[in-house]
Amino acid sequence: MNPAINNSQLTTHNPHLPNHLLNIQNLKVSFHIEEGILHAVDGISFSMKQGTTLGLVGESGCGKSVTALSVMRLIPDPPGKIESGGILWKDKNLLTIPLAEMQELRGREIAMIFQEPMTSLNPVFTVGRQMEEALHAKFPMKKDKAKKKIMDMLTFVGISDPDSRIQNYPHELSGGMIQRIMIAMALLSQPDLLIADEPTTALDVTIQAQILQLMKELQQKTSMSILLITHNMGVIAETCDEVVVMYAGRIMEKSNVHALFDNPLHPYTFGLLKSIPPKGVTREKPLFTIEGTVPSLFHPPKGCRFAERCFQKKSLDKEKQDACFNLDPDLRLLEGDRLVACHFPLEKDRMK
Amino acid sequence: MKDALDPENGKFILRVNSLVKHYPLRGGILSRKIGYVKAVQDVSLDIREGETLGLVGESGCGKSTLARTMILLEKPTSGNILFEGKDIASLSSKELFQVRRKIQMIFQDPYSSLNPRMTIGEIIRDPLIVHKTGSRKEQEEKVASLLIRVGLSPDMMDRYPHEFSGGQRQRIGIARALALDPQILIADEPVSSLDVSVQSQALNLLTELQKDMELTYLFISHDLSVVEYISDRIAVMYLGRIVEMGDTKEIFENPAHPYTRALMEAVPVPDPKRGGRKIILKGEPPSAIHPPSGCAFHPRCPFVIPECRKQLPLLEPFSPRNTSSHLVACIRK
Repeated sequence: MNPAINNSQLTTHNPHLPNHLLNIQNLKVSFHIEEGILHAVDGISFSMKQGTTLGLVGESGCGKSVTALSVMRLIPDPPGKIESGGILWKDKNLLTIPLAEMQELRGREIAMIFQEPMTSLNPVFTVGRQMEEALHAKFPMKKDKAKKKIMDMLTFVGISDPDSRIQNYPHELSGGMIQRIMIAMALLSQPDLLIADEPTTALDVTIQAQILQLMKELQQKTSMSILLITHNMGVIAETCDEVVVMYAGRIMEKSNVHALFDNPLHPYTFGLLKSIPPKGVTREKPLFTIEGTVPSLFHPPKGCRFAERCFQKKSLDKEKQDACFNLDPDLRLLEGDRLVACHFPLEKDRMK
Repeated sequence: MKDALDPENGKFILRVNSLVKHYPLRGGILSRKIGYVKAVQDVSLDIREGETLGLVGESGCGKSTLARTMILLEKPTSGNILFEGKDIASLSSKELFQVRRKIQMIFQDPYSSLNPRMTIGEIIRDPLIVHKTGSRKEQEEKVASLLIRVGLSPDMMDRYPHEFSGGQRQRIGIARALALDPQILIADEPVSSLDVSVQSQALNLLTELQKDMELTYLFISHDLSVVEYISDRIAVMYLGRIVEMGDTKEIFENPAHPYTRALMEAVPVPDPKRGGRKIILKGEPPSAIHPPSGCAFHPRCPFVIPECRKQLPLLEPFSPRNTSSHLVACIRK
């Protein structure tokens, strides 16, 4: 596929990563478009443990969806291109296995649900027919057996009256109902990993709460892992075990969820958490803001990508500021199991 | 009921009485009326000068229709709308035109609410041209000062909307809304499509503008944390009706309606230590074509009793002793 990817450079068996199901190594994805080359994901590495929920959080355009689509190998090429890196899944590199093998694996081992449930189904076929087709493609079986499996799964995701639901067309159902159906469809093949890209963003809060609870229950009942992509820190806090914070195509921080909220190490994470209106605070008190805007991904700045907007740099002396603007910070290990890409990580108790 | 609506502090600038908005639903080959979408049903509320009234509810609850009907972008089915004491629902279109400049609107989607073929200078100037306000030079000066006011630079005047980020476009939308020096700004989900870091910038800007220009806001949102932060008072809507209304602090500390409570509980809290708990509402909002009998919330309500199915609850003071403005429409309050 891509000569830049050398399989021998990738370590499929990393002794330091026990039970790691998915291991992304130095992934670079760009889009070659009229305006130039957009470096959407620029060298990210992270891994996720089996049976956990990992949250991928960041603002629009930070590369979180591109990362997910790369795992599914669904980056449209052209204009998209996976420039380098590897995505290790069990003992395979998903970027180098033959396409037929990848297609076989999609849906069966790794399934994905999307933000807009309404556009994820074909409007001219009934829900039942589409579910049957999806099931049949992966596991050919007799019609009545397939139907029973679909009914069971719909009941499992909390749809009452599945008999009549499967006769409905997508437009006859609400967004929350369709998202449940999408989840049911994804679960039909009992995948090891479910990638959920903003699964509740288009839904109302009361329905969002239902879907998030459903996802948590599913994880308890199955040993499935979930890669949850969201921009909502509240959703992260309620559902994830670990969190990867992305900004401008890079990982800024990776941490377990409790440490991240108690004691963010990266000023960007701190800013994201502080920008949320705190409970009980009124407009008498201005909100914390991250000044400025995201840098261009056509020409990413050298040094730290967040330096231009970083509130912390004002308190640093000239020499240190130079480091921020000129030296690209590596993702380094801190406090045992946390990773941060900042030359001057935040001290403890900044959130108080 | 009317008395409870009387503002005790501050005078009201916009008031609606028993506002109803039904959309006919047509069907069949003769496209006869087969029913009505009851988008807004018997809503009475007042907006006081200089305050921010937050209007919350889930999609389809009628909050946007209520706002649009209040400023007569939609013709009300019945009810009256008083702006500075005058019923604007019965004004001629010429008179209404004059009122319109005092009530302006900011929209949710900064991408589709700016004309892509106009420069931002033209976009912001447009209301001044429509309302024949000032000479060309005065208009241009006004545009420049508005751009500065919303935190953009006057050099940007000749650029087109696509050259700006979502947050900047929202600022352009705000500048356009301010062009005619309005008294009331109706903001329909103004920060919902913005990223959190940009959202806080926009909320700070709206707060500053309100203070400096003595604006009154009707702030529509489904995001309770944003509404809690920005509003003095809150009205909660469910299926076309207001189910609870009162001072923000009071509503958040003592939510009286089961729907308000459920809505608050449903919001994901950015604190992983807060586990367990949560009453999660079952089911989905019912259809506005055939609203349930009695209290429209009864099919989803965890505290439902048989009377709820029969009796339509009135919006009444939360407690008889409490004569403050906390109103709730629930017989089990």
